[in-house]
Amino acid sequence: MIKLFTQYIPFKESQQMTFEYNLRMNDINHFISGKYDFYAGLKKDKQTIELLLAMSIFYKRVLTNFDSANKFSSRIIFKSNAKAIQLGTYELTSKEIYNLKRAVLRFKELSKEYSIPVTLYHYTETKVFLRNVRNLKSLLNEN
Amino acid sequence: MANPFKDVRELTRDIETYLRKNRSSIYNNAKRLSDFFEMACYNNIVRFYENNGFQIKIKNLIRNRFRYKCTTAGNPANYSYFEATKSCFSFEIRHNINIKSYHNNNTYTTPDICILKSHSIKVDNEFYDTTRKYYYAENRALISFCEVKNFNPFPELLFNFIGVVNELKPVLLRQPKYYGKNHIATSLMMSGKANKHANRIIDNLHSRYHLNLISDLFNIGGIKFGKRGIKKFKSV
Repeated sequence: MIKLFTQYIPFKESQQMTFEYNLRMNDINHFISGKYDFYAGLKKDKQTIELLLAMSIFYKRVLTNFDSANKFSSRIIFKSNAKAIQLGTYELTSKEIYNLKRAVLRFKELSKEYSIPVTLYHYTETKVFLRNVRNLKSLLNEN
Repeated sequence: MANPFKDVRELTRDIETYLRKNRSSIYNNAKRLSDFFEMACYNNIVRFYENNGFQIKIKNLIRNRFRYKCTTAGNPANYSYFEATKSCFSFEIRHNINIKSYHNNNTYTTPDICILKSHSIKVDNEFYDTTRKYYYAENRALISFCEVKNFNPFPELLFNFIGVVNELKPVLLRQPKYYGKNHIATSLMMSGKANKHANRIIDNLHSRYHLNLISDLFNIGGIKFGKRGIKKFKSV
């Protein structure tokens, strides 16, 4: 499922994302294999879990950095006469900043449309992610 | 509201559409992810000073552009920076400046962000064997510095930072009786969230040394450098 995202990412960065995805999927497969009652109910939702995991990795590794760039750029562009930020030969113009903001915002909106809170993407350990997925599933099924 | 657990294909389709629509900005900017995180940390340090009563000015714009120093090479005069002023004192918040070691005169290291006394950049014409010049700041001009790491905290990273502090600001490797309130103490800023063990190490190092080890900046950077948040940081 991570390929959905990595086809739009440069090779070096996409490799790291794929590595993290595979590593975490191994853990997830172990947890939902049936050895743990707590996660057993998630076995039939494997495809959804794969997609949510890929979304979280994309959010953490790509979009949060875009968000960071926006914060710095906004200070420079709106508080001075600067028209752009120059990083070597690359220029971060106000148009590009707008595009970055739109990419972050649209992803958050998309998550919201599917009742996926952004806090689902805040985790370090895979079991915390899986626990959040389980809680989300119960919440959505209750409603 | 759509439920991803009932129909995952719908969400997949929407994500494909989202990625297709934003593909050029995602692809072009994904190459610069680490630079972007460093920029955010630079911004956070500036916010610390702003919230601590300093006036902030952007200095040295070049052709109406903020020229960001991405590497350790280059003449700092060709790059933009921030100036923080409080009463009659002013300091420079710069990026990637070579700093002379505290212990000897011929070794240097380059922290990601430095808080320096004004006009403290010097030139060494003999550092290289060629005519190339080496730009640096004296150790006594260094008020504080920050290292930025786009990683989850892990033991080696945390302990390695202590080595850098020992080289540049060894005085911080003990708890001082008196310390200033104006400047942020030397800090390690990390994007990722610490796990249980890393948290234990962070607490341990905090209790022994006068430093800030700040993790999880992706999620809570804004809060940590807010007006209330900065009061929790160690200062010099």
